[in-house]
Amino acid sequence: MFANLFAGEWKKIAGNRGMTTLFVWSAPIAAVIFFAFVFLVIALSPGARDPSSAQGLPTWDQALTDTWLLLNNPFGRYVIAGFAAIVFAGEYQFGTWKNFVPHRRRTTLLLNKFIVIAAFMMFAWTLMAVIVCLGFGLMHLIYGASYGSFDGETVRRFAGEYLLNMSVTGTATLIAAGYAALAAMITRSILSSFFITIIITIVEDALLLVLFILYGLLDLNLLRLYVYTPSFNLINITSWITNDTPTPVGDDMIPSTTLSLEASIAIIAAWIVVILGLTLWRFNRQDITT
Amino acid sequence: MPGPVAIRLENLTKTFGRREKKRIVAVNNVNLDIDAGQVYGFLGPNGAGKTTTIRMMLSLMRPTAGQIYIFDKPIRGDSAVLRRVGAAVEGAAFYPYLSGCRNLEVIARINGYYDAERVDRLLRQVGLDTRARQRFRGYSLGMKQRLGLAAALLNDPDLLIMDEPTNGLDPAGIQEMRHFLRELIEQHGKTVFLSSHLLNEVEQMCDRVAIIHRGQILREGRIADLTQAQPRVKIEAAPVDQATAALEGHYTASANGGTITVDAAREEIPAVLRRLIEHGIEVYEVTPQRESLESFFLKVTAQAAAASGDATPQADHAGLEMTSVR
Repeated sequence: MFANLFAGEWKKIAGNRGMTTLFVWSAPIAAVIFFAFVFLVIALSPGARDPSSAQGLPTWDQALTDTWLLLNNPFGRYVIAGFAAIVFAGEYQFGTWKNFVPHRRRTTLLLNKFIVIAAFMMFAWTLMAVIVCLGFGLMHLIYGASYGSFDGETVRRFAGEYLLNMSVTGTATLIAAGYAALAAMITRSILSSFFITIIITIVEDALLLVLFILYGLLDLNLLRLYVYTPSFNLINITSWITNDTPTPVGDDMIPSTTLSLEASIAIIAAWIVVILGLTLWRFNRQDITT
Repeated sequence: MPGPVAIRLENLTKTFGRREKKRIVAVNNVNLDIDAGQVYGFLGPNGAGKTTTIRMMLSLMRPTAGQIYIFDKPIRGDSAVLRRVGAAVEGAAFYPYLSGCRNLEVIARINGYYDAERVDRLLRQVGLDTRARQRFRGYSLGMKQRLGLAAALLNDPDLLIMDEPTNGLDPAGIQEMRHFLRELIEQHGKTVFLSSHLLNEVEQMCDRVAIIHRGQILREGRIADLTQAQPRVKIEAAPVDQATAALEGHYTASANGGTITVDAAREEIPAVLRRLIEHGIEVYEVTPQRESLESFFLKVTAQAAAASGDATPQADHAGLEMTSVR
């Protein structure tokens, strides 16, 4: 039963090729284009084939894990937000909720969407990481350089870091998708929910700047508020696990503030519960009028 | 012994708007019992509350008050019984970028009743098998309606709820739809609840009807009973103006070209004719008339508009979008 529910949503989203190409498959496609260009340069330029060029290239485990860092940033969240906004608001715009709501619990329909959106993102970015890993592997092969050790310790460390990056990206996806779902339910329009979601994401990212300005202009120290945002806590969790240190907020001008790993996890969990809860509450009470 | 009840509406009410001044009562204390195994017509002018009622029956909208039972089970709180219902509400809505076939697959998979063979069979039944791989955005209005019917039948429902099912269909398509719906009743024992503006179609398809106006049920019953409540006779006579004058004060009569229409029961016809002949009127032809559903509908809704103090009762009729397909 769950397989059909998942497959139905997957096929529905995948069928919108323009949207998935732009928001999902663009990441692996960009990786393919990047390496095609690199190999073209290597093929045409004898200097680029110099073995010394291998210095500074990532090892296989770095190639796989660091790819995710490209996505754990504001731009990555805009992509997720845009994708989720279209997926949720599309049901209102096409008037298609009425095909499902009488036969499925609204909570099931909504949670299924979150799961499938996260699955799309995880799949596309895993594919991108694999392409990046293969691309750098091929470059190492061309230069005749070692692609990093493959011993038990390296593999263990890699697995931990890889899972961490995936989890952080998955969590970021859920939060951005939550914003998008909520915006879609309120506006019932693809374009409006897309822009609202992007604006919320930008405001969240720009909050630190706003707080700094407030501090500078009004001597009002609300900096502590920033540590409750999802973006700060996702960065903080990554920092704790990779470097065993927190991400500090503040500089010489204002008191620095830090959060423990447990506190960051609790804040992120609270955000997910609140956003998903609000979305489900709103959807379950909503009249489907289109 | 009455059959099982497919739909029961108890004091069903839906209001929009929270502020007193802006509050609109779309459905007002509606009570209906619809027996299983029949085609039931739900009629009303635009904005009468038909679609809102249907949306509440499908759990798409929450009633402000009242209760809805489908096959004797309340749908509020537990909508499992809605899995026995198929519906096409306010036109077919599908993903424009998917083919007709893929749209049906997606709906069936998500709703938990996917059967590839059934999808193919339904596409054949509604005459879309050759266009099934084409994107929905390229479908004509008639094709969209057919796909909507196929989607409504995906779960082999016991109750089919159709909102304007013949919109966009050509005359042949309308006839096919009529046969298709009758077949569902007669051969498969289904119940069909449909709302339509095509009153002639409703008259041919439905066993019973309810007329809703401004959220309230005005009349409900078998079409034959409703339209025979005021029997009429059409008389071709000359001179018409003298014939009308002869009947004045005794019968309600109106002249129309070379004929007069008289409100009279079958047993009153000899007396009417005697009166005309006594006044020297030549009578050429007498045809008993049954009031059409369309004229009954117009009369009932106009009366309701007048009774509610509407200064412009015709405004309701202007919004009917009624199409005669005789």
